[in-house]
Amino acid sequence: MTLTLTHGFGPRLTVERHRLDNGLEVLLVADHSAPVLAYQTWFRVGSRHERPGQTGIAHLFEHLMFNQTETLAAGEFDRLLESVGGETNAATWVDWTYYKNSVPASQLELVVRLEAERMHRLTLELEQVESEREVVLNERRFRVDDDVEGFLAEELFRLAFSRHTYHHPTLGWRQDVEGISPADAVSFYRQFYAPNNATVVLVGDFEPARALELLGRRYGKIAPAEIVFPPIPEEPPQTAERRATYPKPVVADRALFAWKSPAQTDPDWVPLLVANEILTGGPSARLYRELVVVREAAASVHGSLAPFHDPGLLEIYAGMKRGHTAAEAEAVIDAASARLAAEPLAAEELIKAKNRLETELWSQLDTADGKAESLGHYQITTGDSRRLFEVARRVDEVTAEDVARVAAKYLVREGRSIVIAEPSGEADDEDEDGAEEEPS
Amino acid sequence: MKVVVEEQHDLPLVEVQVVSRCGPAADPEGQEGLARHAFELLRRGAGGRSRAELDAAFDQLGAQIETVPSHDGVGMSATCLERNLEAVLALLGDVVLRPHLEEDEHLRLLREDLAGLDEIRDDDASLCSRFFDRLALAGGPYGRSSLGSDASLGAIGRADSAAWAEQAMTSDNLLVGLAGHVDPARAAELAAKTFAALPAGGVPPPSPLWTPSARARLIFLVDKPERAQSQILIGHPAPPPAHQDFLALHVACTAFGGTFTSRLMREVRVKRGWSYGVGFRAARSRGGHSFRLRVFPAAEQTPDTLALVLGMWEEVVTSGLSDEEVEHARSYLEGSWAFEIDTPGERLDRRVETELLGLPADHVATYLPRLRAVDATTVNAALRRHWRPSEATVVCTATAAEMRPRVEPLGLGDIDVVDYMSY
Repeated sequence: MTLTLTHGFGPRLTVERHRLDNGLEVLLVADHSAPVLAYQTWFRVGSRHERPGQTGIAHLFEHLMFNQTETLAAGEFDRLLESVGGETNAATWVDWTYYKNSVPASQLELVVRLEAERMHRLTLELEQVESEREVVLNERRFRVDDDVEGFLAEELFRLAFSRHTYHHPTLGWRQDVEGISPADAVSFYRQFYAPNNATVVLVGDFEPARALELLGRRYGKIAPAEIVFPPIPEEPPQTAERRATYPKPVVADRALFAWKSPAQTDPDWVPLLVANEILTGGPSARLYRELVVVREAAASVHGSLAPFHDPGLLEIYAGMKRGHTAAEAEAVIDAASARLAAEPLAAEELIKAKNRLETELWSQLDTADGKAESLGHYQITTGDSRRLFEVARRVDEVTAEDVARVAAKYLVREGRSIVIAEPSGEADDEDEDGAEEEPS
Repeated sequence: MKVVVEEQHDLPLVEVQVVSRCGPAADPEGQEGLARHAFELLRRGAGGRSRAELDAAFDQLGAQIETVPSHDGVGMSATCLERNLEAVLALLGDVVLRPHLEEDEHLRLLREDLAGLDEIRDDDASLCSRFFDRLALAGGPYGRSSLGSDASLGAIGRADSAAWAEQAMTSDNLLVGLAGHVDPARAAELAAKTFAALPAGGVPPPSPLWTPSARARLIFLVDKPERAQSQILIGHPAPPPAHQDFLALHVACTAFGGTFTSRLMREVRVKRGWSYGVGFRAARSRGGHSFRLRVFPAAEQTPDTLALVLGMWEEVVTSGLSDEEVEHARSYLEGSWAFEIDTPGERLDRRVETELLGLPADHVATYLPRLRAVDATTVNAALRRHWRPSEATVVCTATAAEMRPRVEPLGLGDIDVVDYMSY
């Protein structure tokens, strides 16, 4: 185990970065404010690394990681953690997959043993693959098929990316998920689940020397693998606006407007984060105020900037009120984008966005889990956990000119994609007087 | 005015909660949604600032505003940078003590409230929960939506909101909580200074105890087009958290459907893959809320899932939970308690809950010893006293024309169909 780096984490904590001989990276933050631990294992594999025909395998495999190992019966992993009050879960996204455990501080040894075990001794049975496939297809019905915003988000990425693997959803296309075999899952495990493709993040009430000893003992003998990532096609520049409309059982238009945005490590990412905050952050933000408050055209407006390894999207969602259309939101967004690019930002408005982002940053670090998630994301996506606080510093340095420059560069019509769910006619058949029908 | 403070100095943040004990459960009949509407109206212009100016002032200070969710209280939390605490408190003082309550803003807010109901209709899980509360808790204070309905919101006037504010914003009805990077003495001083002009006294609404009557199981299909999946809630009224059986019932719920290896999860998700999630819990409110079994299978698996989970619920009432199941659940709850109190915000939430739910002041401090005293005998006796699957209300969002012929032959209960736009 080699200490490779230390860096600050907020006003009073420190991150230690270590590396085992087999390539496993370890981030430690000892925080004795509560008797809890967040133990997370981040793998550098997500849906970005999937091949055509096997979309959804990273996410399906995440589900399979909760099955039996060579020494643990099916269900024992969860049962042991639950018996001490632990919670365990996992998440997959475009650039990563991570496994999280929240346990009382006294249970470090248990969680290290269990996580090290499933990193290299997982066993898969056909019956479990079939059962989890059904679970994943049900998750898809929940998040996409019957959820308008989830459906629009999936269609947006399909429309906006023609070649890059961000085109397909992390949940995978249904027919691909149905076709993944147990052999495919085993192959995926051998290809990507190895210590040299992982980072363990441990935050909470522990002693670093003891943690390092346990980690070295449990993980030290796991062999590294030759990690070969499939080539990821570069997305060609978008030269014309793209749009699609879908009939859905909604009472009014629901719309997503999105522009191509830079990777999270790009110098323009932080100024664009500030631009998004000015447009959609809080009730006094420009778009919220114009669409929800002044015009009363929308019920909700919110925005997000993709924190991706490769260039992603800046998205703005508008849920329109009855009698109002997405076209009204589009006109307001067009005007707001043009104004942001052309008119100098008032100093007060820039400070407002920075204050809101600072509160948001600290709020994300409230719990041990939140601290570990932020560190893990930055380490895997950008290659350096220090960028978490570098972003905070760079937000503070953003100028009005920076915001205008990135607005002019990215919020352009030819780089935009729009997806709209329109009322299909089956939803808005309520009685004219709005009277409620009492169930009999 | 009660002030509670939870101090911790590792982050430069402070959360401030301002909560009135006059919650939605006390809304007048026919004016459901009044407490939420009136409290929100306080923020739509106060202390000489218009709504826009007040929004901008909170945003300028980087304050994140959220609603405090409760059936028995209504309020807001503002999380802000410690350096802005005094300024944020001054704005909250304006909201509580000097609201404008203007007619224009009242009408604008009513239109927002109605649009909010439309957004719930887009979200099947929220839609199912809204109908479940109305149908399973009909006749009780918690069967009336805290958000109101199209009709009840239409019956709320500006004067009603003003009258609510006069009753709710008094020293005996207001709770103020501060958590984070602030020491208790300074917090108490700031709160006292900010709310010094709060009218004395006030009468908290009476505890909304109610006795639901028994009835046969009913199945409601909330009819919505093009559903690939059903959102299902099954349950009936539950006793209040202050009830002597409540902790044993909490353990029972956890063993039956509260963890990933619970009985329900093993049978529904792990063995069969029929639902991404399944759970069973006792929702809490001062006067007693509901037991709720939640599951969301594909439309084609809905009849089998309904038969399975109702059968399992009946079986556990007949045969009870095993000693091992109860011990596992108890042990899980004991260990996971650390995560209920691990941050100042969590500890503040526990203390505000204790106040709103009418629990003893030592409720949090005595939780672990009381939990350790629970065993399989007390758990099984409690669940047999309180669980009545044969009287459950089943609410299922589905496309009724396709679902009714599949569910009806199972004979699980009488079926009624309600249009999803009707509430």
